[in-house]
Amino acid sequence: MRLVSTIEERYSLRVTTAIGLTLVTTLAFGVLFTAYAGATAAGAVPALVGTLFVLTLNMGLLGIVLGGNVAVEFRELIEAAKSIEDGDLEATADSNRRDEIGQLATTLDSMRRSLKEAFDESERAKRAAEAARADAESARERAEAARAESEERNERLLEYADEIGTAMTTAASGDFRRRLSTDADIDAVDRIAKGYNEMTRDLSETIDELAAFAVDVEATSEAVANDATAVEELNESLAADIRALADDVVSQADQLEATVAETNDLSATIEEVASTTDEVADRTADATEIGAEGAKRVEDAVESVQSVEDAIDDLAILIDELDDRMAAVESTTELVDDIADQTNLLALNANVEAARADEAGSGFAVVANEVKALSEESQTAIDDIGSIIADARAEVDDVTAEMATTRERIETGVDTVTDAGETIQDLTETVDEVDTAMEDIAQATDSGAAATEEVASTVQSVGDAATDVADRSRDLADAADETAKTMGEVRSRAEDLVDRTNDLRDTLETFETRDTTTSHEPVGKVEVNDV
Amino acid sequence: MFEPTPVYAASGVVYAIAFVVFLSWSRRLSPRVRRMCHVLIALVGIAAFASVLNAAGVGVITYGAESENLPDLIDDLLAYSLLCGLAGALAGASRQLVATLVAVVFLMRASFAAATFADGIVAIGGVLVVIVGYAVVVFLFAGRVWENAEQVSDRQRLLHWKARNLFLFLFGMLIVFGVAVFVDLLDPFVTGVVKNYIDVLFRVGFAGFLFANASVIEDDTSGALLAERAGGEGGAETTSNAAT
Repeated sequence: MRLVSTIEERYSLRVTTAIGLTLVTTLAFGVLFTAYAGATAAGAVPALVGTLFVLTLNMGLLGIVLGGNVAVEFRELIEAAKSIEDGDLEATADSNRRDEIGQLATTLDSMRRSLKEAFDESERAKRAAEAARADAESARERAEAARAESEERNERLLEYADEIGTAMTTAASGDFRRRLSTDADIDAVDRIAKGYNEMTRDLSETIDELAAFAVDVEATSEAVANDATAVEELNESLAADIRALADDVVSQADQLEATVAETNDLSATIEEVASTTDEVADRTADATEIGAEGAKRVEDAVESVQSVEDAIDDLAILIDELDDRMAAVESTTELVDDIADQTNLLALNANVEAARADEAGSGFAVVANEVKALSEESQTAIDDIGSIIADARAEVDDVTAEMATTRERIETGVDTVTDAGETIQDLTETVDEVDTAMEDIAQATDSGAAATEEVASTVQSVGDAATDVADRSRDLADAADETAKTMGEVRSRAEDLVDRTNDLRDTLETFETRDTTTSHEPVGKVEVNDV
Repeated sequence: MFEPTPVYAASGVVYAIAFVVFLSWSRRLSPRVRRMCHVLIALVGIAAFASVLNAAGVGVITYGAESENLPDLIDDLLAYSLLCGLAGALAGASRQLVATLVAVVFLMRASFAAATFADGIVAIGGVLVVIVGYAVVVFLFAGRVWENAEQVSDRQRLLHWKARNLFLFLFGMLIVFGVAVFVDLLDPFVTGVVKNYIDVLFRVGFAGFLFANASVIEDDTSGALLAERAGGEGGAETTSNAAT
């Protein structure tokens, strides 16, 4: 595609390509026909004719394809060029070709436009030159007439110039009372005369105004001098006050710095308190935990004591039952004792009876003795049992009494332990409250420390500001001194201005001014007259 | 080796390739111009078919010592007439004038075929018809057809001018070639080679020329009329390419 595009944009390349293809085609046919002529005996003439025919055909086609295009394009270019040569600068040779012919047409058209612009410019210049020449001719004629007129007017002007010169000389000596006539029929002279009159009138007015102004200036200068003196004194006093104020401010700044130091110490102390409070709070929390543990242990002790008390109660019941059993045994022993007494009595009776029976009753008497001995042994055993029971009952009574005492002690111990638990509970609650209070104190202490630091920072800033104010106050005092000095210079210059104003008034009094309340324009012929 | 059959076969191959190329090319053109291009493609296709028949030796008419390929004759009658008509239509010529051009060219080719088989006055008459017919065609192209061409746009007129010159040159060379054959300057092989070469230029070259300048026909009103005459209904697509 690029090759095709290149060939389209380059006519010479296109021509070369077309010619090359034509030559190749022609040569191909020539080779073919030559081979044919060589192969056949009678083919030479037809081959030659055929080759010539193909050559002619190809050349003709080449001429038509290339020459036709070129001829048309060149014809249009030539027509356009001829038209341009004949002066028709509107003739164009537009071509939409992209090759050299198109570029030639574009160049020709650019040349045409340039020529047209050049011709237009030349035409405009020619017209401008003709107009200028006509203007010059007219100007020359007007100049000649004006020259004649000006020669006549020159003579008159010389006369008027003398008069004006005289008036100007008079004015230069300070006399503005002269007035020139303004009806000389010469505009310049009239304008000069009018201007002179206006000038002398204005100068008179100005000098009068200057004189009045000088009076005002003198008065004002004196007032300014007086004011400057007052301002000078005021500024000096102000500078002294400001310096005193600066010293006070410096003193306050020093105090503020001391305050800052103390505040910083306080802040450090508060921070230490806060640290200690945190530590106490930690210890309090430990105490709370220990109290809670103690309360729990008290409760356990109360429960243990109460269980002992219950056991003692059960033991008392058993002892009571034992006492009852002892009483029953004692009654039983009494019964056995009665039986032993009756048995002993029976044995005695048996002995009596055995004695009565002699030998028959000797065995019986032995039995009766045995029974009697047994009865006596039983009596003795019963007595021993009774004694033992009595001792046991006495001991049981002692135990019962001891148990009652123990119960009372236990109850007292329970009450004591309960009171101790309640006390520990109260103590724990108190410790909790103390812990909470310590936390609040710690927070408050932290806040206080932060606030104290902020106060210290603020006081430091105030101290710095105070130092800055002191510095600026000193600068202000210096400025006030400078102002006082300046006002002194102002006063001096105002006094000098008063002197100069007096000199000005003396000078202004040398001028002779016109009475400006009368008419500005003179009436009558041209002359220089006194007013 | 040097027989007419390979020449016709080679022509057939060239026509077949050109047929495919033009058919593909026509798909990139607007429908309006494509109808006209289809006529040119049809001519190339007919030429390919005729070349195949000629290579196969089908349709050869022999009368006495002379012979004529019937497919070749039909192909020539259609191609020369239609191409001449197209050249006239490019100038915006009327249907009647275009029909006249077609008829004269048709008559010229038919007379030349008749002269091939005749002798004496008939043969000379046939040749004269060809020469006079060529003069008439030149006269019409330079006269009335050119008057019509002056009514169309510059680019359309330039296109007609180029197509007309191409047709007249090729047809003139064809007449010269015919006369050369008529006077036995060429033998059958050389005749076949040159004739096929001219025919290829006539059909493929002419078709390529019009394909390359199809944009001109698309842009101009007269071109639209031409397209409608050649192929029926036309479209409305345009391009900005210039005739080259």
